[in-house]
Amino acid sequence: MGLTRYAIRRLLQAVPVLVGLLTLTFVLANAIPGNPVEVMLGPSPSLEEVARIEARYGLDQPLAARYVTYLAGVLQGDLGTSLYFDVPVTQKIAERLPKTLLLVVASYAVALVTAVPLGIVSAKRHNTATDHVARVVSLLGVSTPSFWIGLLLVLVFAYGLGWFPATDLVMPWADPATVAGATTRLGVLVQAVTHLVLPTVALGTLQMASIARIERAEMLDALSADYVTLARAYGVSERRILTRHAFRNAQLPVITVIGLQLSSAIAGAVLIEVVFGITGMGTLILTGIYNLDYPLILGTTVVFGTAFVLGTILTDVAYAWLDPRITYGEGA
Amino acid sequence: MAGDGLSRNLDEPGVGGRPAVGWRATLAYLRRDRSAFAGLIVVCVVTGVATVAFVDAVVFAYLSRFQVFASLGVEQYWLARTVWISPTAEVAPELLPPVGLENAFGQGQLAHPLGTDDRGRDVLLRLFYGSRIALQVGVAATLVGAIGGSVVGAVAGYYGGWVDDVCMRAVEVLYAVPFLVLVLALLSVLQARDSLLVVMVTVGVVTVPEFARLIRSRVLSVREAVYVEAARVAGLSNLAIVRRHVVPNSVAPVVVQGTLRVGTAILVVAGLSFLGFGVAEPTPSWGAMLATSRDVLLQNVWFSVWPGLAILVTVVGFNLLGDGLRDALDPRLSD
Repeated sequence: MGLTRYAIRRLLQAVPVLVGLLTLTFVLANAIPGNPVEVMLGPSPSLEEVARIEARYGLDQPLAARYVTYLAGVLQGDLGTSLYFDVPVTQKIAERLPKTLLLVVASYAVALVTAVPLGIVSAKRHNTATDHVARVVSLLGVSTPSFWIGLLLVLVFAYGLGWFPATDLVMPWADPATVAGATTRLGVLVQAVTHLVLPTVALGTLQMASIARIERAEMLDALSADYVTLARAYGVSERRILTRHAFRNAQLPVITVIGLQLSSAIAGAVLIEVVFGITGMGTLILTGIYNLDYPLILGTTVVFGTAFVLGTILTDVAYAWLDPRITYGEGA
Repeated sequence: MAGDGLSRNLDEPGVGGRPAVGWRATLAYLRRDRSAFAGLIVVCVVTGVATVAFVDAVVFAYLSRFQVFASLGVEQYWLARTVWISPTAEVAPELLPPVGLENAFGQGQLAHPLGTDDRGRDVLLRLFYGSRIALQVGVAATLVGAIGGSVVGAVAGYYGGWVDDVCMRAVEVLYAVPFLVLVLALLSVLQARDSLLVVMVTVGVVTVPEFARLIRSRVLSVREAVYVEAARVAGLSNLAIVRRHVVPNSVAPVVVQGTLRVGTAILVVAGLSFLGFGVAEPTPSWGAMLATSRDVLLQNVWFSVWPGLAILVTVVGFNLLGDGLRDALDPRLSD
């Protein structure tokens, strides 16, 4: 079976999971105690006003009918209307999702670029001072709350040194006219990067530490494998052993860890968005929760869940693509 | 039991890839592993502080309902009031800088060694009492996950077939939503933003899949072992086999994983209370202290440092201890 078919099968397997996700979020959101209409209209609205609002948002329908309407709507890309913002939920998510995606992807990039060399050096110089420092760094990385790192970065680099701003992200493709401190496309890009630095470092630290830990362990494993001993016996240079033999074989579990880290990366993104005041998906779901805006909670949870499932499939497919031993068997 | 055959190895536990057997061997092993021992000490100290805080804040509040204790003057934060000041009492309206600066000494004594928060409450005392929330929720959530996950994993692994499929698929649905989003959704649905109990259970439920997978794989390998086959031939019931052979063989990985998970759970709880879930003012918690520190970041720099350090040190302690336990109890898992 080819890789494409494997990818398609993984996508199909995700369908029941996604339906389950929709059902779960619908049940959750409709079990919320407290009346959203009251939140919108204040403590003592007139009966006509209540009826008008309920009819408008379909709240006067029975639960089962609302579920069917909801599922049909989602399939057509309609996640309902936000009670708090009074605009379609999809519109809000379309505004917010790019920022969160940019943050998460950038933090993974930073994490990989730092963690992989760190893990390799640590394994190559096993039990030396370099190794110990690298291990301490990764231990601290997995043990520090990302939002605290964010707070400290704001304190030192934004307020103290003034090197980077600690405000909402700037999208690289934004119109120069709407971006403060930028007049040209290049200016926007510079602003986008400087705004991204602190949140990315704060969020990437955990990923960096987890990946460095597994990279080190896997490289140690690979370097003591028989084929490496054999390569040494044949007189293959250490450099070539490291780059050609050990490195390639050590990367598969790293991909698994990247996939497993996705959940904490999303959790971290929610917290980091709060620290830096980034108007992304995390602050959006919190707005929904604080204001009992159930279409918004529902919509953001569905999008988070879908993104998460797709991310997991992506790592699975990447794994299958990189590992020649995987045969994409039916029973996998 | 396996311990008898290995008793001569008690002096050299964990050597040669052999797992340490029994408490004394494990302790002896940890004593030799310096970083694990440091972790053990941190965990013991934090647990001690949290226990005092728990007794003072929760047990005394409960006891004060009874006439006998009320007449003795036992009330919430009785210890803190007697020795120092209450962690919830506002003592000064303005922010005081930490020790080393002129305001640290009030009336010739060390009044506020780590300064005060935005309401003039003593930061050190609130850090002490914040350890209660972190540990209580961290440990309870991990127990929920470990017990729930172990039961599901053991049943799935031992019976196999459709039971296995149903159990593992059901558990995997929990994996389809990022955990923080799931916890937030559950907390808001149950309208229990301030409920510690709900935070404990939800944070625990989210870790069920992890433990279920761990135990399932362990059970699958034990199930095929020759001694289990022998037990089955000898006529032992399923339950007896699970109790006598499967459970003892699965304790070590659960203890190791559980210790590491307490650290993670403490991080999650800190994040939740940072967002305003789990604890309400005036109860002290590390995450909520960090949330408050954001508002006064420039007035009192140190206020945003201490709670984070407390979280960091505690989680490092659990991680070091967990890594050490893994090396001692389960060398196969070691990296």
